[in-house]
Amino acid sequence: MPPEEEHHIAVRLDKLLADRGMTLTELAGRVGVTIVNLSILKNGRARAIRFSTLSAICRELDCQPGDLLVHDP
Amino acid sequence: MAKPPASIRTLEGITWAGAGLALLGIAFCLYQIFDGSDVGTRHVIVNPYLTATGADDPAPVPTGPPGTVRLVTSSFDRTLAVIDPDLSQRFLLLLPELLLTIMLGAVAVVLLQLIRTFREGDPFIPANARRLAVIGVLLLGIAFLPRVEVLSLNMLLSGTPLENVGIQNSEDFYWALFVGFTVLALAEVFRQGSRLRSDTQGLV
Repeated sequence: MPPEEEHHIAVRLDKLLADRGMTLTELAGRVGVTIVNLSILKNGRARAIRFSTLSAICRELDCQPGDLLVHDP
Repeated sequence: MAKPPASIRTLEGITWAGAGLALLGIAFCLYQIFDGSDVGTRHVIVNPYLTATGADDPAPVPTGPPGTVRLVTSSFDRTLAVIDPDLSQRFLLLLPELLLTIMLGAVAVVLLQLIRTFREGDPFIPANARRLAVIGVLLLGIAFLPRVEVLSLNMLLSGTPLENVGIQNSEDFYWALFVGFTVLALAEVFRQGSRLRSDTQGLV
């Protein structure tokens, strides 16, 4: 595999979930993404996110994309 | 680990057989080089037009009314025999076959490594793109074997009465040029495929 490209995007999914008192499993069920993939996203190991996934997460967590993803140089 | 599909097992079996045949071919060539037999032979083509002059035109150009057919090259086929050849002559006689079997054997070995990844269900990896590129280059190398054959014939016949008879190599490997470039194109497909796959890994 080629070396992973460096990026400085941090995912704040754990904070959003904690603020709303929602579990990862519950969110996974609501947005139709596997818990494995959501866990990858939450732990910052995702390399890309589909607009459809982002949109579904924002819908379920009632937030904006900027609340979920921040640039962290 | 789940049993691979029959198609992959068949492919693997055929490739193993090919590798085995190549190994036998190499062993046979080496045996012929070192066994010390009295006569070494090679199939060649004698082209009298190469050395013909106007005065001693060696063979009439075959002509006939439209619709007739005639075998025009069969009379040019010859077997070059070297009586009581020494080691270097045996080597030169068998060099093209030896190189061909070595290259085909190498292709089979690389192909086996490639097929192993099919068994693992993970063929679109950069290593396979490299393997296909190696196979492509080997096949292109096979296309150049007639040049080696010409060179070895020239060395064999140098200083002999047959030096200027117009003996040519009997085989060409144009197919290898075509197949080699095709496999190189396939290697590029694999390289881009593995890049695309790597792009989608980690996509949520």
